Amino acid sequence: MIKVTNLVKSYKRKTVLNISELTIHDGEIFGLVGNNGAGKTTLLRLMLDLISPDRGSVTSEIHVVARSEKWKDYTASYLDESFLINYLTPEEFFGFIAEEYGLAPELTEARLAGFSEFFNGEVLGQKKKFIRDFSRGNRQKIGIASALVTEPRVLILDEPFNGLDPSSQIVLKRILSDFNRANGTLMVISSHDLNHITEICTRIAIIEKGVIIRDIQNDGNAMAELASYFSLRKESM
Amino acid sequence: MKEAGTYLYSHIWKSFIRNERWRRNLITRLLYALVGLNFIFIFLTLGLDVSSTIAGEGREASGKFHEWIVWYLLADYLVRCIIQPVPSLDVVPYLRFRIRRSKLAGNIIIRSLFSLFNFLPLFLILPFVIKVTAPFEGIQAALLFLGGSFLLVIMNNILALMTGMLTRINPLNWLIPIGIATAFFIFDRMGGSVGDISRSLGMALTEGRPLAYFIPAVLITAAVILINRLLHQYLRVDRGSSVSSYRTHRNAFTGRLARFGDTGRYMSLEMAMILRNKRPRNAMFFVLFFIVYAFIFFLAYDEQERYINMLFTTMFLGLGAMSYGQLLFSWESTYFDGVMARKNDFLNYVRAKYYLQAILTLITFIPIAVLSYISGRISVLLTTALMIYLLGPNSCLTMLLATLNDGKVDLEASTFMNYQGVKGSQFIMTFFFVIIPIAICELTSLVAGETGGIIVLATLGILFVIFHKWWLKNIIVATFMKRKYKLLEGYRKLSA
Repeated sequence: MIKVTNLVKSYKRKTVLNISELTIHDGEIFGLVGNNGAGKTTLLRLMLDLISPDRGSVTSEIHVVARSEKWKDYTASYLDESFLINYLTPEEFFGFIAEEYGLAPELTEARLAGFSEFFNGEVLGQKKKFIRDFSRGNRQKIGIASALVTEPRVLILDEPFNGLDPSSQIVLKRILSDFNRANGTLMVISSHDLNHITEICTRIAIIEKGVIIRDIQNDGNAMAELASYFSLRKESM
Repeated sequence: MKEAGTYLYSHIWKSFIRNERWRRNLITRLLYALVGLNFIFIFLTLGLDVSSTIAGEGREASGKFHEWIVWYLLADYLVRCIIQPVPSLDVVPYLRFRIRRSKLAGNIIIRSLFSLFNFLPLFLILPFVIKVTAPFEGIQAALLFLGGSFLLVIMNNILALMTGMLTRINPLNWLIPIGIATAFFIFDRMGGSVGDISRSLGMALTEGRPLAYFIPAVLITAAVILINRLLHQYLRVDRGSSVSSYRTHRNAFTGRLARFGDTGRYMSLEMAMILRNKRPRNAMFFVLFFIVYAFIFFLAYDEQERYINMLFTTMFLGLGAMSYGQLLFSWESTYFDGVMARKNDFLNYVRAKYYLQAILTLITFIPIAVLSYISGRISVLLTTALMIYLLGPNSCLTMLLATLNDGKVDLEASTFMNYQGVKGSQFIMTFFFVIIPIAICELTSLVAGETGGIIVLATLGILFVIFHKWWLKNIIVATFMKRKYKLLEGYRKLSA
């Protein structure tokens, strides 16, 4: 469970995030949608203790993320390319992550084998090709797989579909859904793609100017509600 | 609407004045200004001294100066080939605009003209022209010589730019500058006189002989045409990565140190970072260069004062550790969000950095100890004590200051003349780095003799080495954690 309490973040006296309360339960796939600058990445960074809140806190299970590092044992994330060590080969990078999380090499190999369709033969076994030399889409795949390979209880992804080709987007949706079903993983996923988010998320929040203005249980009608909200907003601009 | 190409030049200026560097605090900016003024003062004094000295030679003075022109040009060309950045990547963002490649090539050449190397010779040439050429040869000759010298400097700039591009396309092209330098040395050794050719060139420039201007002009034109062709052929957005992978494939990350547990694993990662990325790799190359200089200092220079010997020994011993240590965390600025968001053993991670710093000091210690023994300029015991001190309190100081540095470092950028990530605090650190151990040793020596100084230095070092886990945890990691958010924010900036 992730619990956000009275969380406020400002830059140069401008409040960019203000969430009084938000609880994400175990097993939920929580989608975060909003326009550019709405505060999605800021919220994810606060959940990962990468920026400090001006007020309030994020609690992961029983740990306040800014005060303890225990939550890192069961949390994995991929926000952007600053999560990749780009002078390593993908194998070295996965190996490094596996060691950090205490995974045996055989287990890591077996788990990576599960990504073969996602990697499409373009990521592993590329003979000393460093991550920086891969295409943007393949770097994105490496980043997402590096988070999933640890089989975390909490997974945080920022715009995971960005840069992926249509086939890989479909495969990724299936991987995330299967993973959630199999492990009961709590997932927080931000995206601009309403179709993808409504297909995989069990709950979706709309964030605007740092405030969560709608919190929708996705019972099949979320797409209509989201589409109506964003089209109305466009007309009012 | 303006054509996009017209913005190119204003962007050069904007990228300069909007650099994050100028947004630092007042003290840092003042420090930059002072360092800059100091450099100008040193070079101006040097130029005036040289000119005043040779002016005493009367009509022979011009010849004395002229005979060094070709050697200067050769040295300048070679140093530029190694140091001067090739600004071709700066124009990559403009490739998608409606700008002709020839215009981009022109922009690259203009960017290169702002190199410090084009201004340095002014400090020698201007005083010479004013003090020697004008009084002895007349105003017209002085102006002709000045114009010709500018032409030669520009020629060197363009030729070095061309060579820089060729070497980046294929490292085998390094044979060009090496071949040119070898040819000059062989010519001089085999009875030819570069000095005589140089004198003739200086004379020809002063007398305004057209050939002396024509040849550099032809070379400039030919180089500009070649640069244009190279850019047409090679200026693509993917070129940077293909060149870098060619270079880095040879150094494989094997993780051999992983058998030493988490610390060893982090050390392997750190070594891969150094070996596989241009900037840290070149920084280490610089250390080798300074060790060569140490040979010259110990074996070729005359006997120096004791404190000068100590000063240089400390610098030679500590340079490797300092080059690496001053950017200890900034090296990883491009992927530090990932490091901090993942599960990690931060104490072991910092320990790995300390051990690597210590290994660098130990590696530099071997040649320096041998040199101090052979030259007898400084006792091996004192050199050893200085080394131990560097492993202890100085490593702690370096690492502590690194936790204050929120500058971002682009690992694939050129090292030379690149101060990205280096803050004013680092300049101050360099000062304390060498002054404190010397002061401790000298002050103790006053009371307890030289042996007393050595014992105090070594004892302090040993204490810090023995208790390194304590200060790493309670000083370095604790300070880092306190400043974590500020550091991460700095690392996320696009430029630093």
